[in-house]
Amino acid sequence: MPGKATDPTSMAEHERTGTNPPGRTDPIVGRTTAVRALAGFITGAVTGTALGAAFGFGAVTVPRIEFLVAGGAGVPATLGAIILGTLVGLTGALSGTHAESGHGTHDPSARDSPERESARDESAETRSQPPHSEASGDSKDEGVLAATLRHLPIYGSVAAAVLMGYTLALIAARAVGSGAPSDQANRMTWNEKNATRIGGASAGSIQEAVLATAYPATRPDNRPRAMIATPDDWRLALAVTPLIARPHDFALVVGARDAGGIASAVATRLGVPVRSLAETAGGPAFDQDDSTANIAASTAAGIAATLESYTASSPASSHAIFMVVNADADPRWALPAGAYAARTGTPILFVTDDSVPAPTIDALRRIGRRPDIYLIGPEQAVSNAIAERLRELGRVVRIAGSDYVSNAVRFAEFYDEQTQFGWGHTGRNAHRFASSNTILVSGDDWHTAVSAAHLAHRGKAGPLLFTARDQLPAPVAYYLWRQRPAFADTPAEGPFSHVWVVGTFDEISYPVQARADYALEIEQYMTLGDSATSGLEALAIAWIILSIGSAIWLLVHAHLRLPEVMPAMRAAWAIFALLFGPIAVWLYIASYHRRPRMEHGGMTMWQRSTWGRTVSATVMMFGFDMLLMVLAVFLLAYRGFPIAPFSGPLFGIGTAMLLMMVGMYLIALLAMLLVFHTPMTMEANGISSYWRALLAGAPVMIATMTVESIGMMPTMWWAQMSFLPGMQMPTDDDVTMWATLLMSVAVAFVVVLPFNYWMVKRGTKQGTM
Amino acid sequence: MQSPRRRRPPVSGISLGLFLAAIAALTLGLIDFPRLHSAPALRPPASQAAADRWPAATPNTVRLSGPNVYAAATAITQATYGATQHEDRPHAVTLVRADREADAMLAASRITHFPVNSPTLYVDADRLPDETEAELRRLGPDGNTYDSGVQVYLVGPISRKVEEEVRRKLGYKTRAFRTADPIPLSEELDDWAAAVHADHPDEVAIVQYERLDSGLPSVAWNAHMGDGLLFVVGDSVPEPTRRALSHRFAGEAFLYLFGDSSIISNRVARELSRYGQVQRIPGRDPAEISILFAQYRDFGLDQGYWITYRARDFGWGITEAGHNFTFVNLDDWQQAVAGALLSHMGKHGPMLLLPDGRIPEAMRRYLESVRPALGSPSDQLTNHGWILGGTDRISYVTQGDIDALLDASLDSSFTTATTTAAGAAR
Repeated sequence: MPGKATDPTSMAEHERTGTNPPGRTDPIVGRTTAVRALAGFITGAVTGTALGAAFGFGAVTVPRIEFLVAGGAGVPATLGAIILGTLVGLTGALSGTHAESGHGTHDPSARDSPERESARDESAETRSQPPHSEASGDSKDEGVLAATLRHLPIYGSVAAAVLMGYTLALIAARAVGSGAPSDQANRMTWNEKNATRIGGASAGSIQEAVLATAYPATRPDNRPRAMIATPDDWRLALAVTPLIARPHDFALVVGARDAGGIASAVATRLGVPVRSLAETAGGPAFDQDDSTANIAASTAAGIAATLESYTASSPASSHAIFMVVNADADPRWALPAGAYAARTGTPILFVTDDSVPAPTIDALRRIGRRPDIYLIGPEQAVSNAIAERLRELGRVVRIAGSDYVSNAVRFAEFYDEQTQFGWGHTGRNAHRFASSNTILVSGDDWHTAVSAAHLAHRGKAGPLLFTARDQLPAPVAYYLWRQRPAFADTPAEGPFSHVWVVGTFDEISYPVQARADYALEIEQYMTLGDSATSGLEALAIAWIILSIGSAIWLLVHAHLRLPEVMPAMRAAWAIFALLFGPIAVWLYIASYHRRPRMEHGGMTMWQRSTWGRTVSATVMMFGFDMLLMVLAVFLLAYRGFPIAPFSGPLFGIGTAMLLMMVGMYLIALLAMLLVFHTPMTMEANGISSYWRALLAGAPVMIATMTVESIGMMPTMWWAQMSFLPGMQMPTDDDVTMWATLLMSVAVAFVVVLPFNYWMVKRGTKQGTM
Repeated sequence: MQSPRRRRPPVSGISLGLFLAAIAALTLGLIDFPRLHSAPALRPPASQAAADRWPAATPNTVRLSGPNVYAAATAITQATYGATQHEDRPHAVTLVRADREADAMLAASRITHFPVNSPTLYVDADRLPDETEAELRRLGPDGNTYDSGVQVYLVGPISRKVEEEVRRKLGYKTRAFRTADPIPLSEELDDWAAAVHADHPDEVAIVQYERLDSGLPSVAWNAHMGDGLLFVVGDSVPEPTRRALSHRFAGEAFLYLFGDSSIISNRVARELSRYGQVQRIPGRDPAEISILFAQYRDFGLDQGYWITYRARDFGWGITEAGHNFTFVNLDDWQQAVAGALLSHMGKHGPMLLLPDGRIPEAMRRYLESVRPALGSPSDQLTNHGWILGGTDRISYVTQGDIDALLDASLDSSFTTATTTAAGAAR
């Protein structure tokens, strides 16, 4: 604190001779706190890591925060570790401090000396009042204004902490997806940069729209060989999907072949003939009106086997890989197989609830050795008994999710190294950087889902997933955020992800489509864009959480154990901890633990080494300075940094960054002088005139802030313009804004320490608070 | 005034409360309050089919178009910005006249890129078209953090009436660049961009003012990367261009001339070399320039500072599979300039110009050279193409041919009448 030192002779004398002044040397923390804090942190961190990793690897789904997995499973694991670790560690630390402050019974080493305990008991009554009324200046009677002035640094600290909380809450809200959607009534197109919508008024028109997209029919090679019209049975339709793939090149439509029927209309546009199943591959003829109810599961199995042998007879040779689904179960378990079949031609065979039908067995035996059988669906879709029967015929691998939404996601992620079967879309950390596309349907109507399989026959082929109308289901959102590509050099490098959104707006709403489109946008690796959390951002968030926990402990500890420290100084430590976290805790303990103290003129002073006093003198102002500067950046960002464009070599003066830095400096300086520094000077030096204290303290204040800025500003510039590549200048809703500011604050601390050391040496600052 | 100790808490409480209230008012005044929406009450569109009139998409392409230039530009911004929450909106929107090509090229080149993130829409000299106004409302830009929160930029001689309408009716904060002549306007925008980015980009695209179409491929690049754009006029380098170039750090720029010597003469090139290193994208016509520029890449050292250095990197350099393209009819510059936005977000690819809406032979060969190979489902690269304009500008048959040229599995040795023989001898 600038101003005169009280009784410099005795303090300097003791420092010179290395003796202890006639004060007390109390410990302020003991083993209890340390042990409880550490044990709590480790317990919390381990649990948190496990929970976060479970979420990160998709074992547990949590809605709305799936953007956390875009940076890999490590991000939620780290955040889980820090959040729980800080919570439990803080609880332990607080309970330890409570115990050590004499209200508990444990660690005698942390207890105060007897004189201190009795002094505490005396003031116990007054402690029931708010802490800021306890400072040594209490004994005077004060007016309202004087009291307010004295408490101004406290109010300022509270306001600053609240503002900091607000900026963090804003960033979090933006990441989750806040803000109202605009009216979309003027749209010319429902297609988006990463999403293509195929919709219609009915299931029939959706089929037509899908086929019109998949087959432009402007050349011989972009139309199918023929249409196959199937009756209204999901199993027959699904069984035909392998014929969509190369080299068979059929297209399938569910519905009537008669003139005016949908199959006929589509075939006319495509310029290809329409055939029935029987005409295509043999087997029994069906009435077009036959629906799921009329066709037995075993018959469906027979048709599937017939189609399999039809496709095996082509030069592609016998099949060694099969997908098997249950004809008696809900179709949604089986539908994802259609997209894969349409891409690869892998045949689909059926089992029933109680048996493996004979045609299926024959098909599986055709190759003459044990084939690979991919069983799609969990136990409730295909029983273990059936799986066992299949194991007698071949190598069985079950692909399963607990509900049909996760089941489809599992299938999309599944990959078998041995056979190279599967889409293998495990996310951008997968071993390959290939395109990752998705077909999204609602699942309410199987016609749409089967028809959508055509989109996988070439081009942006990808797995089929299910969604709800108004919200992406958590497993699907998780999956899509994992597909978000991250670029190293330029976003043009790819790979690119795209989603086909197939359905009416009653099935899949536009905001769902827009959220999927947003999740898939390619972003720079270091920041992963606005919402998605990158590793760098995870570290920044972890530090912030740790800092908040540190600040809370420090505040409570100072209140309980160091009531003789000026309230404004306690606030200074807490604010410093909001930026420096565990480092602040370490410095705090080093500044007070077992430090000899003396009373001088109503104030308590601690004896420290020169560097110790430097740290204390720095902390007294630095926390406020820095947090005010950080908050000033955000306040200016909310309004928008001003610019003054002009020509010439001095254009730099008018740039947004520079004007922001000037504004930040001035705002912080003004707030510091008026709210923090002057009241603290008044109290510490007993000056009763506000303006005299302001003028007395201003020069050193300005000098200190300037030195801090010399450290902070260039680091900010470098961090925001160079360190974050690709012109990622952060805005007010970016965690990277906090990350770069924290870096700059750290450098400012290192830069200002030598300056304050010099200040302490010449006596301008004391550092004894 | 006497105030016993026990009466102090209410005083402290009141003053603390007032202080907090002041802070709250300040922050609420500055910040829009975030709200979470899970089931927004959006009216579903009356007719799905009305929006996309013909099959807009094929397996590898998607068409974006509108009945007039204003609507067509909104189709592109609608594809890019979902406008369903805070994060999928632009920070600002740029308005430019639909009859001034140079202004539009400058606007899209200098303002689109991050951190501004501003798409281009069209207006008339004294009228704000309904389509543009509706889209301005839908986009809801939240303000450019690096320019006082400006939400709408007006570039070129647009009447104040239009700006007033934007301010009053829509409530947006505006900034206008009113210089009527595009040459000084290029310098004005260069200075503005330097104030926003705290730097003049050393890489500058040089375009022949008398043949603006030849510079259209540079607009897509600048929307993507935010480098510079300056003009030469005929056989001379105008003063504003000279001044702007000399503002580059240490006066050293990297100049990329769009066109061969028949478009930008060698004399001009020599003159420009006073200001930095000159290189050419040597195409004879805009279509050829676009094909060459898609493959062009100049990279290397820009400036060095002992322990650190700055690199230069200009051009797409796309010579492999797994990338995307924007296709537009060469005669539709409004479509092309608005469509540059598609290089800024989403598919991030170069723009290829189709003379008469047809695929030149050279373009066919280029697309074949970067077509993906057929792989397994877990290991497949895909190419995507945006088709800008209606079927009268790029026919559905041509779209089918482009789709085939981008596809891993189709045989493109078959050509339809949509490809031209021109250029076969090259």
